[in-house]
Amino acid sequence: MDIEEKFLLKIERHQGIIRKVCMMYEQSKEDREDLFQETLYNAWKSYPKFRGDSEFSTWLYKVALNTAMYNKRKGKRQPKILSLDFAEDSSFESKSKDQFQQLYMAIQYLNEVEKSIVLLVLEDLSYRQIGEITGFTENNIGVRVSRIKQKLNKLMSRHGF
Amino acid sequence: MDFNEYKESWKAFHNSGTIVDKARLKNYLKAADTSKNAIQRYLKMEWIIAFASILFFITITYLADTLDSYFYKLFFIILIGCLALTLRMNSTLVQFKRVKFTEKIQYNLVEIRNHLRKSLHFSYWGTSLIIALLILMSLNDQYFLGLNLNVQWGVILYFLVVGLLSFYLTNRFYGKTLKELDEILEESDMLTE
Repeated sequence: MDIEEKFLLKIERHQGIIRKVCMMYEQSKEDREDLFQETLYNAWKSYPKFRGDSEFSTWLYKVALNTAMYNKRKGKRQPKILSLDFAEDSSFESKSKDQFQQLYMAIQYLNEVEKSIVLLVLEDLSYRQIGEITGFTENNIGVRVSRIKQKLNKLMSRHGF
Repeated sequence: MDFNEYKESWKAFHNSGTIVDKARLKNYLKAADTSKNAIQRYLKMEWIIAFASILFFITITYLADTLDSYFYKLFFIILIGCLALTLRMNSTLVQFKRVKFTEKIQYNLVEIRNHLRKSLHFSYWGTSLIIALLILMSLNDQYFLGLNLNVQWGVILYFLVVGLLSFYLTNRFYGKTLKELDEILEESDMLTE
């Protein structure tokens, strides 16, 4: 099996990570697809240097989050905040949809770093793993998470999500 | 707010999405590679423009005898200044393209912010120096001093307006990004001088 095959197999297995980052940082379907492609390309270019010191998923989170942030720095205009399109997700219960929709709308008001922390917390990663990806200390992450919670609470009540 | 309440919804939403198979991933990779080539072409274009500017300068030097020395000096200062500023800004763009995607988020944000800050300072000081040089050179040039006083004021005013416009544009294109990055890093306690 050549290196490209190996890489694609790993990506196929872990593609959820890229999709989640795309959803967190981009709102339109087209932008998400662009970001997905860009992440895939950056991961492929960096893959030869992947030595397996960390888990592949941790490595992929770093690539995907750095790509999403780099994408934003390229000076693309920020679109207005849109709600999610659930059309294709029939299996998703409506109560969950509403709950998730509220959170998603509020998250869009957070800055890039805060978004990355929310994503990693929702992914159920430990503070140690989050630190490995972001560069924060574990204590610092605890403080960040509680600040973000307060911010989201305020946003949800202010905007009536 | 308890994130635990949302973890299930988050998982449920993503489990319901479409899975991209290996063949499609391969196509994505191919398409992305093609679009990267477009960026490389764009970079080549920038260098062609810089090269054309140097050729233009050589031509002007060759024709120096037929031009008044005032205009020659004017061309010289503007061209050298613009080239220096363009090269510096180009290095910022290159830095943007050299993001280390496998590094921690903090590392890249701080790197970009520091590089951008240096470039902005260079741009402000460079522009101020060019404008100051242009004004000083004009005020010491016999040809310029021989012009009508209104024309002299007009030229000086023109230099100042160009300088201010340059400050405004630099700030608009890069300053906003820097401010935004500073805010994010400050909020996240990531700022290191």
